[in-house]
Amino acid sequence: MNSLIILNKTLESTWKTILILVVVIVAIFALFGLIGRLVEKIMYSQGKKIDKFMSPLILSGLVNEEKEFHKIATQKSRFYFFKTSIIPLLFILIGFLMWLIYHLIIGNWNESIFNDKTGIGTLFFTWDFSKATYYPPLGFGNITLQNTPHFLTSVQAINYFIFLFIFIGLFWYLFNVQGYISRMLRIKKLEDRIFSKDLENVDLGVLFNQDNPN
Amino acid sequence: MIEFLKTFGKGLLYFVLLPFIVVFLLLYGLYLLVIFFITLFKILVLFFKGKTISLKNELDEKAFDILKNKKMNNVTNTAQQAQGNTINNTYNTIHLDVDPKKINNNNLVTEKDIIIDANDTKNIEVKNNE
Repeated sequence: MNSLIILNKTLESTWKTILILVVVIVAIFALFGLIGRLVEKIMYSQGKKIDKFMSPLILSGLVNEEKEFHKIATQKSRFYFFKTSIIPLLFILIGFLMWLIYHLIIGNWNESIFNDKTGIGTLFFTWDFSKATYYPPLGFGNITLQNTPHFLTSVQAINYFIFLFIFIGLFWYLFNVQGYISRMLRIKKLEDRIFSKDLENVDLGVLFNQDNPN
Repeated sequence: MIEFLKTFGKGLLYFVLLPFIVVFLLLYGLYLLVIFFITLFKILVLFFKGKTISLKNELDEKAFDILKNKKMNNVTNTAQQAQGNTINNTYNTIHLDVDPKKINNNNLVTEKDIIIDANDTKNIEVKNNE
């Protein structure tokens, strides 16, 4: 009888655990979906820059061939990428120079900017999982807290600034890379729409009405 | 509900494809880094030759000139149409023949020519000085 009660309680807690797991997994995927939609919207607005670059040339009739449109639009897109990537690459360069000069001075090339003793890891909680043991269904043991958040006050605090410069520069640069990809996709879409020989893109009703107004 | 399922489906897709997206982005970033240095080299070469590269080049200036001329032509045509031989009073649908020499662009109908009270259809004052 006691074993039945224990089994019943175990099954109830297992079902609850599974339900909580399902809710957490659905929430994570929904969050990824929302972030993905946000990225799609940002890519759409980045791609619209091509409309701004090319509309005077199209409206004035100076560009009326697909190849010419592609060539000029790609050139403008590359130059715009160059202009907007100067600052982030400078950030990365400054971060790298700081790292190089710091390590030349201290002479210790093994010092990491990421770990929880000399780097950005000091600002977060970290745990030691090397001796962890597993108890089913969701039990874990022998996990020790390795670090509590604290600021470095020694010369090693320069690792924060190295990480900050490189991280901001890299993130900004990858944003520009995404912008370039968005513009290339937009160029392809505009080529198909403006220079298409597909009659599906033409309003035939308007065309026939112009020929035969009566 | 359908929107939530779409979002969930997209989230699942992005979660699965995320490593590939990140790798693709990093590789494309390396390719664009090469493009960056090629463009930098081109700009430096042109700089020492006394030329410059910018987003707006000669073709863009030509395009803006053409569009500006088109706009001015449209404005001129509109003004010329406004100096036409007939004036339509849309309230009373009266067609009046007016000497175009007496009309200027600021005030199409002067007091000396014709005064029409659009609200009063019975009493229409006409002052004709000829």
